[in-house]
Amino acid sequence: MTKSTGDKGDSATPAGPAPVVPAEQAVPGKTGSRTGGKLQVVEFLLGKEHYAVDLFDVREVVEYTSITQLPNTPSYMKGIIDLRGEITTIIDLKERLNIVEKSSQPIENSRIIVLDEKLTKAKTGILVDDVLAVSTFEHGDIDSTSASGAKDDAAILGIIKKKLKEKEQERNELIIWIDIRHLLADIGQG
Amino acid sequence: MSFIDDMKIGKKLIGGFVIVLLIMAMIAAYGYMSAQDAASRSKVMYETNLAAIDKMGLVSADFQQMRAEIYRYIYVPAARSAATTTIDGLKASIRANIDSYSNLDLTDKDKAALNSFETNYATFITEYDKTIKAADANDMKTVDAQLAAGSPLITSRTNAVAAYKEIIKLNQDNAAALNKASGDAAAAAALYMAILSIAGILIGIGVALYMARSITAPIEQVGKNLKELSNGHLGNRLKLSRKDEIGEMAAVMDQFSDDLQNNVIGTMKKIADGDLSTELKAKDIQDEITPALMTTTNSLRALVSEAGMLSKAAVAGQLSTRGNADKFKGGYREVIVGINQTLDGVVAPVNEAMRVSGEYAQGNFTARVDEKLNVQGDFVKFKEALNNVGIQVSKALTIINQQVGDLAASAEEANASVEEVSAGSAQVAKNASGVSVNAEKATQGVEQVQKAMEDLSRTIQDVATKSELVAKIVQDTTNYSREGMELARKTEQGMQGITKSSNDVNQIILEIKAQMDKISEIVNLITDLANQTNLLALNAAIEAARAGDAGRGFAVVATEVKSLAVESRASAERISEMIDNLQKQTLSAVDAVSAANTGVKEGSAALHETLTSFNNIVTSIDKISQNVSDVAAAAEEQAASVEEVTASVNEVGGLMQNTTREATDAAAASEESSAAIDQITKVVANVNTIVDKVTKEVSRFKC
Repeated sequence: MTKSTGDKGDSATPAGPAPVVPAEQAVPGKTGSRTGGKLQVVEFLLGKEHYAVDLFDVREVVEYTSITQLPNTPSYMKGIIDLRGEITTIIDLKERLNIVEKSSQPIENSRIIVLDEKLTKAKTGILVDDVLAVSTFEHGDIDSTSASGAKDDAAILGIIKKKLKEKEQERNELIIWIDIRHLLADIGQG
Repeated sequence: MSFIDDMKIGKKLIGGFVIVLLIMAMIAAYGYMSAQDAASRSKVMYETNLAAIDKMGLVSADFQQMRAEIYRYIYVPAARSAATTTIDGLKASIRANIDSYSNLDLTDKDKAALNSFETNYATFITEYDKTIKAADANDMKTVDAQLAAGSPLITSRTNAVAAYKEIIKLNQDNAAALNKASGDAAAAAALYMAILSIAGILIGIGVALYMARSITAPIEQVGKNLKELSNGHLGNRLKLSRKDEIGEMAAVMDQFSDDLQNNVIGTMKKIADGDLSTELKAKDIQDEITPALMTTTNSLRALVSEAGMLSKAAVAGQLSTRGNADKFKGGYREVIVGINQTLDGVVAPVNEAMRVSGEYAQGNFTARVDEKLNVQGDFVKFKEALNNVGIQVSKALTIINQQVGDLAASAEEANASVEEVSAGSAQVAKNASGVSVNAEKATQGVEQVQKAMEDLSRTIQDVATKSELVAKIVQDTTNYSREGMELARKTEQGMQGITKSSNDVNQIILEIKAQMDKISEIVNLITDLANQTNLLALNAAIEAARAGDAGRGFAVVATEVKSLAVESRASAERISEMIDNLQKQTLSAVDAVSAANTGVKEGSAALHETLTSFNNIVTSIDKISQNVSDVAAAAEEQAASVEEVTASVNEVGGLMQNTTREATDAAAASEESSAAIDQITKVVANVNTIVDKVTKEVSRFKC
């Protein structure tokens, strides 16, 4: 990461040397799209905390639409939607990660991150409170060890430290980088 | 047909049944005869004709066999001995049948036919035997001649056959004739039987109807008569001239009706009319009606004689005589006991009344009817009346005594009074001169009163003047109140103007609010657009990143678009905040205006109260004005009264002078009255003398 031109706090930074991210290299989940020491992620909000998933696991972001609930499914299986003619299963990520905190926004303002087809058998989206930005981080900004205290089930790949300039003062914002493949494997989608 | 009515009912019934039975016997006898006739015909048919046909049938069969046997004899020499035996048997059989036939009861035709047969048969047998002999001699020529047509054998045989056929035919004809006769007889018999039966039924019905009528009609008459009797109509009689049981019953009933009407009811009618002289004798021991009637008559006779005895005794004044109730029973006894009680009830009070009357005659009016004497009804009044005579006379005597005493006292008092009057007259004369002096003093007092009246009149005049002043002041006050009311009304109009203006302000504020709501909608739209743009920018960034190097330029564009969207959203949010503030301020403006409105309303209400108060003031002043007027009127009335009083006082003065004059006249009159009083004294002395006499007379009565 050469610079963080984020006086708005959420700007993606595609500047710098070419990241060269062939999609095929992203398949082994642990390393994600880190190539040449850079990581491209999609940042989003769950409750108050910032989370991130690998950019190459994301197909697109869509607005919330009314969800048809399915009977006799786990509580995090929110239901299904019709996305341009395709039935898409919706996972409530807050429910999945046992995040109790509610969003201050109404549910209509939440977003659905539609995942890449190669991750899942069926087309799948995850329900998040808001999607903030597409960002690129240096490898050095990522702390993989601090998350090792958590259980394996937490599926945390690492903590990203995002530098922010706020009133001429620098401070770090912590972004939880989660392993969406692992979570989906638990569900039986992977 | 009266002999039928005279017959006993039993005989009648038996006679009817006998007639019917005779008819039935005739029908049966005719039927029997017809049946016998038919049976005899059948017997003839069976015994003669059928037997004849039977015999001739056997003869025919044997004859035919003989005819055949001869050929066997001739042409089968081996069987000749057997044939001979057969032929002999056949001959014997024919002979026997012919004989038995000839024994039957034969007609002339039968006999002629039988003779023809016998003749031909004899010839046949002779020729037959000749033929057999020829055959034995083997003289076949003779045999052939015999057997040829026209030979004596064949001719006799043909004749014999014709003869027995004739016999059969005759017998068949006879049987047919008999059969026909039987059929005719049966038809005739059926017809006669039918005619007889119908005749028998008609006769039977006729007899039954007649007999039934001859029995039921009189019984109905008897029944009707009994019903009449039960209704008390005794005048009906049956008067049937029949001699059967019904006739007897009717005669007895007529007799019973006679008896009932003449003896029983006649006697009862006499008793009802008071004639008790009838004497009847019982018809026999079991007769109940006559003894009952006689008992009734006897009881009534005894009752009448007892009552007569009592009334005679009472008329003769023998009040102690009583009837003997033991001679009677039941209601009669009650009658005698009742008469005795009546006498008891009358005699005791009469005796007591006689005693009390005796006492009164002696002048002892303290005597009273004995309280222990038990009296009821009118006797109570009688007793009270008798007692009242004593009481009232006693009371009257007492009052007379008292009055006479009073009269004596009054006479004495009158005497005393007359003396006092004399003395009074002298006093009057003396007083009359005193009156004259006093009247003069009164005249002086009246003059003083006149003076005081004039003073009062002046004072009243002052009151009237002051009342007028008060009325003027009141008028002024009323005017001021009216002006106050006018001012209050104007103020109220101003208040209404304020209310209207503030309503207008309210309206304008509401319009502003609506406009701001629209602005809010637009801002929301902008926010929405910014969000959409943000989302698009995100997706563009994802696409660009996935495109790798090729998408790097596009990624920059996407980032810029995203920042623009974020700025737009921030601006829109700021506008939204401002609009919110404006709306809050608008709301407080609305509150202020409505508060002003409330104030105006309160002011308006206060004004209304003020108006009401002014109205009350005007009303009160009107009342004051009214009262002041009343006071003025009252003062005037007082003035008039004072004048009247003055006039009266003047009159009194005149009267006083009259009084003085009349007092002088009174003194003269009193002297004249003294003379009259002497006259009165004499009259009172006379009254005293009369009273003494009356007292002496009255003291003779005890009371």
